[in-house]
Amino acid sequence: MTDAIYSNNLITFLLYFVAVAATIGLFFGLSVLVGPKKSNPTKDAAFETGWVSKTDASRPYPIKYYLVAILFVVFDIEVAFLYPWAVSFRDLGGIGLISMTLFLAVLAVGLYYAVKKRVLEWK
Amino acid sequence: MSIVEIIIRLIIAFGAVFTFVALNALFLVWLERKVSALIQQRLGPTEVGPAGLLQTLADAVKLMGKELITPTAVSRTVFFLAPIIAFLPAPLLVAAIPIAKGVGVSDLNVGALYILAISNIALLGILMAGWSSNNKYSLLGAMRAVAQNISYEIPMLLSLLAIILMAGSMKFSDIVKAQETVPFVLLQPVAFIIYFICSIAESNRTPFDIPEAESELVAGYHTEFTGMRFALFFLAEYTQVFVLSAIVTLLFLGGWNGPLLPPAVWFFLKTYLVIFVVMWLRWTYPRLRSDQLMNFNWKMLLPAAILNLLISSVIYRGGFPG
Amino acid sequence: MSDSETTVALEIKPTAYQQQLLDLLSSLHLAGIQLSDFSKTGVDFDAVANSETLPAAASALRDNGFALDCILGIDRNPGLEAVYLFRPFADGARVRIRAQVAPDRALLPTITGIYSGADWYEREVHDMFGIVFEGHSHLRPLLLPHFTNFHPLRKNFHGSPIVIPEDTVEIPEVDLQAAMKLGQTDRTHRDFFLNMGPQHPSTHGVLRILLHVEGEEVLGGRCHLGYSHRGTEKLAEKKQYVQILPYTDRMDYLAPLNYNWGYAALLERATGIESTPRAEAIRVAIGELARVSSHLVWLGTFMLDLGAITPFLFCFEDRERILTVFERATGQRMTTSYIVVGGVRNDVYDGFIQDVRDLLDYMRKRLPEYDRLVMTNEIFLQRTRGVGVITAQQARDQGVTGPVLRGSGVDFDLRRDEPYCPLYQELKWNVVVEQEGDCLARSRVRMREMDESLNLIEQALERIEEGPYRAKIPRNFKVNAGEYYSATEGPRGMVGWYLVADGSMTPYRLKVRVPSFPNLQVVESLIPHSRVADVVAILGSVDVVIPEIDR
Repeated sequence: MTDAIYSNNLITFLLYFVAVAATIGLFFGLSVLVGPKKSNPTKDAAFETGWVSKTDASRPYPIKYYLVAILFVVFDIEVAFLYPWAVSFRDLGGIGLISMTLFLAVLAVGLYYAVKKRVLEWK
Repeated sequence: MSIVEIIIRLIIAFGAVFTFVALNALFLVWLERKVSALIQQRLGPTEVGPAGLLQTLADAVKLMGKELITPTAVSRTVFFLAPIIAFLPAPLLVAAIPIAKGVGVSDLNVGALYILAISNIALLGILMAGWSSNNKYSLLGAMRAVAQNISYEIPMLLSLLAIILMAGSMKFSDIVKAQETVPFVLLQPVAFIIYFICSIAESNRTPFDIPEAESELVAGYHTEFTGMRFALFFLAEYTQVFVLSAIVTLLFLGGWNGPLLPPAVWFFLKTYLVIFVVMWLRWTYPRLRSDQLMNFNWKMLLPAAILNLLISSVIYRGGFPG
Repeated sequence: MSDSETTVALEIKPTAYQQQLLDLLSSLHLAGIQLSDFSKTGVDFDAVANSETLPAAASALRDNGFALDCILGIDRNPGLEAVYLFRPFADGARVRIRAQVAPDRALLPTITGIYSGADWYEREVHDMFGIVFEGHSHLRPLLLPHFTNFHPLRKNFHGSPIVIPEDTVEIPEVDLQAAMKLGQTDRTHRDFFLNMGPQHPSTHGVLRILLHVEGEEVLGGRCHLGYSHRGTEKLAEKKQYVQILPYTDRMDYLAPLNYNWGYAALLERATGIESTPRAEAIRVAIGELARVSSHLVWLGTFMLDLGAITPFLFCFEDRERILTVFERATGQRMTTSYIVVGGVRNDVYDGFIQDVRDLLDYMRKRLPEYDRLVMTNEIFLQRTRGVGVITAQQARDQGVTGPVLRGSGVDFDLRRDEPYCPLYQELKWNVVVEQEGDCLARSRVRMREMDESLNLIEQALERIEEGPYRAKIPRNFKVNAGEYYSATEGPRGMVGWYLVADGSMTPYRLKVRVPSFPNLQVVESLIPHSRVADVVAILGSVDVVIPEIDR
């Protein structure tokens, strides 16, 4: 039964988005219907704990952990390779174990290198 | 099966899922209040409905009566879409969780991976919320959320691998079946701890609630969101709490396996027990600082997860005792 | 000025230590050096400086281990005066240096280069009296709005309609510059300015900190005060001595009893009235209870700042019990107005001693629990250890007192070192000191102080003997003309009261030196190059009450 439902992906997705749209439409519609609609400049200003904001928030943001982001991409892709291996782990036998041990060792060495290079220090 | 039948089934399925998402959120908010009250020597809600059960409903109605404020300086499209995108994955996640053998909307053959993939869509919503609000507190909160979520993703994936390795499948029913005699929490305690910590971090709850750290960032990424927009973030958060607890139940606590009681009851019992623990943690611990959070992940959890995977692949090479 | 002009008038025979200090002061080209009776005036040495000798004198005093207590202004009408109070932590000797200026040409050199803690004091004196401190890097209004052009504590000021200019919502460029100055940073292409407060969950009242941040890193920042400025010092000049008492409740709303006590101690010093032994014991018991209740609020709010919500409710539950005792004993939970000159306002109720004993038993069970649950929590340790370190020298220069000072390894407690109540000398207790100077050390000091306070209360209860609870004092209460200073140890540190009396029923000038003032000022110097989360932790750990700063 469930397979049948999910076999028709297009309909599923279409219906899903219709359902989400309907739900949110209902929420927002009711809210707009019931809620007040009064605006004034102070209310519509960005909340900065009671003061007018000086600098715009849409400035370049210093991402001190941009190397972390790169590391994430690297590790994420490596880990993705491991998934098919894990599923068929028992069929692969010794060869699979040894090759993946090497693979994980490379990952571990990479992490060790990153830590040693102080990539993960926040300064 | 005709196309009409499929559509009817789908509508029923969606109806069930959406109803569950809404009811679950209402119940969890009530539960959170009651648990916090219990821990803090208070009573919690008592007035609306029996034991205050309808308090959340009253709050939802109140939120509905609030104005949807769109500040002048926001980028309107992104601001409008942000709560919707944060909410978008919630029903999708619930739909992929089987509550007993053959019961549930679907039991995908890549279930575990699917959950991890879909749950990160919410992060996009958070980033959009923080970026579009044109509010510095929101921006700081969103940036923290992104850093935290992508970092904790990796040990989470690695500890999940250890489970898949033992079950030989990513399908939840297979993983649960593999735990019929011994739940994986006993065979994979390290993976369990890592996975549990990471999933709390992914759902931005104390002690990892730095993206919405109230005492620092006022309300973090959802500072500028009012009324139902805020409610959508709230709904998404509580669905995520349910999903993470359900996944922990399925992966480590033996899912619906259990004596005497019907499987679905066991499943919900375990899930809500995990939810209770998550709430317990929230009302007990202070919050980490963002750099400590990152250090903890990259220098403790990740090496531990890699090591755990290596060791368990060696130990369980010839099949596991279960 | 030559040495020969320096006069040393001696009415009292100096001790060896005092002689040593007299020699030091004589060598500083100061005029009018005098030894005064500490028990009557609260000051040991008097001297007069002018704009040439002031910085050198301050510098020499700093080299000799003196800390800056306070700078205050007095309008002599005509003529303005700035009074500098110094005190070494090691020995009890307070030095008062006066500097007089003409109102139309009120110029004095700044001593911020010598004592960094002078920064805010000079700004406040500038606010209130219009004395310009030359060389001060940021002489902007501190407690008053930035557009004010009057000096309210001058005698010729009788209130004026305030015209609020149109552009007050814009942050002035000079404030932005100041926020960057302390951290010695410039604008970068990706920094921004972040207003923390006044409507922020963790600014403990209404404080605004303008932060200069780059992402998570805080480059610098400045505090902006005055959101709850009520002009208590000006009001005091219009009220009779007894009428001022309720105002003292409202400065530090977390420990009103300690403020009542401070004010009573000042008047007792000024008039020579002595309180009764029974009253002294009651004062110690109830004053230490107030200290415990204040520290409990600190613990709760500090943990709230660190993200743990539950301790707050536990602490308030405990505080509630203490406040219930206050309510029964004084009639009020917070605005007690209980400790009055000559004793206490009314006698304690019959079951007071038993109630407090029960409370002690209860608190003795609770405090170890907090120690176990909070102070040893790994996340708590991570967040506080090594964060916001104040060195002993820095503490001295900034003039911080109380647990903040003791957390920096300076063994100084007014209860022991400048006795204002004989019982503190007789009872067995310890001054709690921690060496590290970080948020954790300050926290530990407060936690252990609560234990010490409980011990003090227990002993004080045994000393509540039969007798009058209040000395006989005249109905028309007058203070002889003169200047008096009295300092007591509040939960946050030194609560100093400086009274200029003219012999009438109202003070000529009453200055309150509040402990949170320097304690918050030190935060400004700890902010640069920390993180946003640390700012909140530091602010929580120094435990300030903003309304007491604003007065």
